[in-house]
Amino acid sequence: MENIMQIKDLKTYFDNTNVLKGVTIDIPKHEVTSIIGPSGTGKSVFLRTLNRMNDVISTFRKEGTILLDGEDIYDSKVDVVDIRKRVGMVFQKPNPFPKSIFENVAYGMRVHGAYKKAQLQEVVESSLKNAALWDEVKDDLDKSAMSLSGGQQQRLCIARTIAVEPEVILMDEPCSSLDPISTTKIEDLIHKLKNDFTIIIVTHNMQQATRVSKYTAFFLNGTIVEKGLTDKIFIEPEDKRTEDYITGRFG
Amino acid sequence: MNRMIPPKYAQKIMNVVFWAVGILAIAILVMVIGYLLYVGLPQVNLTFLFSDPIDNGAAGGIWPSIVSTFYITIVALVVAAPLGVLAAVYLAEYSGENTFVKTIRFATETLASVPSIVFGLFGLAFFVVYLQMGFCILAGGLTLALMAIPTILRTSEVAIETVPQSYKEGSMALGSSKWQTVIRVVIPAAIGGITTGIILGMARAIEETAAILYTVGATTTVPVSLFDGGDPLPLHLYTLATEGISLPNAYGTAAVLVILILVITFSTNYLVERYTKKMMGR
Amino acid sequence: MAKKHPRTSFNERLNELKDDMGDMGDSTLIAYKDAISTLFNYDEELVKKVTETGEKINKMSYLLENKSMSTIAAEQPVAKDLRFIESSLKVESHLKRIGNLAVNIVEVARHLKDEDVPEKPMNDIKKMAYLVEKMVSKSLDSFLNENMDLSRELHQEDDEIDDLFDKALKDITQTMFEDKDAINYMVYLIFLARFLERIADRAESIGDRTIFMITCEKP
Repeated sequence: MENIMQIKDLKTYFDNTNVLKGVTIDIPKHEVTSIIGPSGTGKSVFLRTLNRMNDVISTFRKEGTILLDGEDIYDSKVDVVDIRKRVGMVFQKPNPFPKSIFENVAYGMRVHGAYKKAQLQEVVESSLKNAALWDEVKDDLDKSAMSLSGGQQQRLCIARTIAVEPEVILMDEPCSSLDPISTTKIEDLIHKLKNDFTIIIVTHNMQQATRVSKYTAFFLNGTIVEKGLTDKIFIEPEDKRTEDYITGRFG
Repeated sequence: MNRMIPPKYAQKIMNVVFWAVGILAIAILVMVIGYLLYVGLPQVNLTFLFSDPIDNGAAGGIWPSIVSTFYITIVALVVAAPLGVLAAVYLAEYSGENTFVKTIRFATETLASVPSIVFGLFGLAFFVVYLQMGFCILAGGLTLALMAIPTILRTSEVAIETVPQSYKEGSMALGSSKWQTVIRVVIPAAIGGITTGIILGMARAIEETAAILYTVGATTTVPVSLFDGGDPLPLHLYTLATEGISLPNAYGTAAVLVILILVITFSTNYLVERYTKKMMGR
Repeated sequence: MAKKHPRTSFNERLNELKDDMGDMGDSTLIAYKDAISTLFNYDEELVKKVTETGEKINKMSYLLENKSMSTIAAEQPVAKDLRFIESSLKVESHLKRIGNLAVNIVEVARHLKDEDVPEKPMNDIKKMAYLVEKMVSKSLDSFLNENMDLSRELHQEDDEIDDLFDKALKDITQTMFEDKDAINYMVYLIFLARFLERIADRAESIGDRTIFMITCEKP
């Protein structure tokens, strides 16, 4: 098993507030890893540190290393734009741009310099197909992305992310604002996407973690209490705190 | 507290009051415009629109004034819109919050509340005399631009600030730089507000009299270059009315000015709305 | 710090399930004891009671399955809770089987009531019956109190039962050789020994279940 990302003793600070207190975890390639844990324990911060989204916050600082394919993503020689291209992100609330469906998916490629119509069309189509959205929107590519339903918008955001061919896709509670059917569709999608991408998903839905991921890490107060095979954690957790959390008795 | 009026009736009474206030506001607008058009429109015909004035406007038309207004507004916009919008982008997206930025904000607000005649005098001293432009369209346009910048800046800044953070994050997460995000996502998403700001600034420029009184001169011929003098509609109107040259023609000019402003406002509103609707999928 | 919260409805369901398991275990134990007692002191009333208890146990088993399914559907249990529910389903099926075997024992008792069974094989049966009772009660204890030590003791005791079973068979066959007329009722004694050995097996399985529930490992 190959690890695409290796996180070693990661500590993060906002001003002097210490959020992550030494997180060490390896992310296996082409697998789905779930991050679970109570609110405010640093799951989202962790995710946003992996694609350097926290860089925009001026008080943010981190210790420890994050390796992507063995390369430190916070190295001064590394271009942050390149990191975000390689580590894509899907957000909690679907956030398509107020543009057409086509332009939403083409956005990443345009930003990275692609302009040939034929090439854009090809990638837009394949990305939408990959995101299981093509059949629903193929006749309305010029329509605004805002006219789609919440579930469709989220799949569009996934299509937009895979269009730039990242290696890792971070998902921050991607189904928390969706209805059950849309949630199922996204979960099916995640299942399919893991063949080509590595996925790290933060979820508050424990069942979702058991359904979509092979590995799970339980975060509590900025540390990982337990990590390992999802089946193991949900049937036979080692730590009492993990047990209490996943059985819903605190958190 | 002893309730004098039962809540049910209080609600009804207040409904009536709010309706009345609303209707009053509309009524005033309709009255002013209606009266102007009622008195002014009879003067307006093709000859009035497209011929030169005779005897300083006592007779003849207002063609040179229409052209002057057009020119001077374009000059003001070409200068003020990019400056205002770029400054707004800087303040909303780049600057953060520090003393320098606070100073800029304070300066902008002060600038917005400076009386237009003061702008006019500044224009006279700086553009006309110091920069030796003389009384001309350029000097007038630049003076108007100075006046329009605060309006455009404030409105655009608010519009840019209301662009959801999630759009920007979505863009950044796809690997676009800050500048690409601003150009491709933030400004298009804020274009409605930005256009409104530009229109407000433009409306202010079109209707302004005092600021151009000392900068544009009062040449009653059609201006050809930027360095020609001009006689924009408000100034023409002002001269006609204050110097008692021709009150009917003053009304005619006013009617044309009002129609011009209405047309610009409505058509831009329509276009912006259509664009926003299309982008927001409504 | 995240705070504890009880998940009231879920806990109620789990407690109810545990109580039901206790009740079912008690009924099973009573059915077994009564059945054994009819062997030595045949009593028509008691026989009826055992049959009734057997039916009651069957009903309890269905109820328990239903409750477990609705708990799984409604609460999506994981970890310990999931293991407890899954084990309960297994254990209740063992208990149901023990109940049925108790009913089988009273059938045997009915056939034996008028016979004068020789003392030697009957003593073997008595010893087995006593040990099996201890095992059933111990298996219930181990499951309900999650006591793995008791579960492990059951292994030893099952071995003892196997030895006793072999001895009983030997004694029964010998009696058969000695008194050919006894064969037609001694056959029932073979059944009886077999039933007791089966019950002991079930008790041991309940113990094994308990170990699996706690450790997730094959005992």
